[in-house]
Amino acid sequence: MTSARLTNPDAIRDFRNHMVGFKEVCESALSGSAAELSRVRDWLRVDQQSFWKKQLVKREEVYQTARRMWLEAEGDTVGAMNKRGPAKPSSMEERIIMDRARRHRDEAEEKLTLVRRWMLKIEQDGEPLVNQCQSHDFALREDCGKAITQLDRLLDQVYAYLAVPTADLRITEMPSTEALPPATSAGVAESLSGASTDALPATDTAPASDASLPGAAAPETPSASASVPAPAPAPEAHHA
Amino acid sequence: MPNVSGDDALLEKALKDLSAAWSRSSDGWQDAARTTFADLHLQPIEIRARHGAKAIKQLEALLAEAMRQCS
Repeated sequence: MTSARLTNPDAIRDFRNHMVGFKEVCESALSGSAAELSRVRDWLRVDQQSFWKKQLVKREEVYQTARRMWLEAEGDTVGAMNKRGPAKPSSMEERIIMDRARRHRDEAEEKLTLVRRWMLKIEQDGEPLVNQCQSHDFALREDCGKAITQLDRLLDQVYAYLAVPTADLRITEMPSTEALPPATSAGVAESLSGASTDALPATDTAPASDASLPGAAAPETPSASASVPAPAPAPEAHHA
Repeated sequence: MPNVSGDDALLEKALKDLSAAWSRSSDGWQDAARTTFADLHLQPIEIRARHGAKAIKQLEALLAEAMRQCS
């Protein structure tokens, strides 16, 4: 028999509940990756690309207008000089306005290029990451499901062995199911179900339940510690 | 502009909580079945979850950079 000790089945049950919560967090976190990518992709395509396209058209118009004004101003300056009329001293102001409009237009053009580049990059780099997340999501659903099933199986075996309702389980030591005859096991359950948690002493070597049971105190009974069945496929399999 | 979810941090925290719960369970459960469970179930889950958290983190970094540059 394997040296084993289960002082409180609630330890398994509590961890099992944590595992259920963990599985839910994993599902929520990993399954949301595709939606997250879609939100950003839509934001780039629908919001940003449209916005900068419109901005580009608008800023191009502003630039062309400013350019015409500058050309007119240039013409006025030169023409006025030739006709000796009231001269426009300089087209510098129109030139500054035109340069500013051109910079604004170029900025919109760069933004649009950037948005398109990111749309492509998200497809190329983001999609594989989403696939990874989905793959981990599926695997974790399966692995966590199996782990929870295994913990349920262990609990079922412990509770079936003790044959008491879950709420009444407050034990310090369980004797080996291999070491005790069926009648004795039933006696253990009966004894334990009526015992208070605090009243039972905890020990690694000499369980109180053993001492209180007739027939369980035989010298050859190797039941100093509890035996939780190993996670074997067959529920009735125990440590040997 | 969409928000970055922070799911990687959520997953990391859940992993840490699970690990702490597993340590706590040793107070009442110490036997071969526990060791077998850790080897067959818990460790692969932890490894898988870490890889998952890493993938989410990379994805979120990518999306955050896209939003930063394009806004």
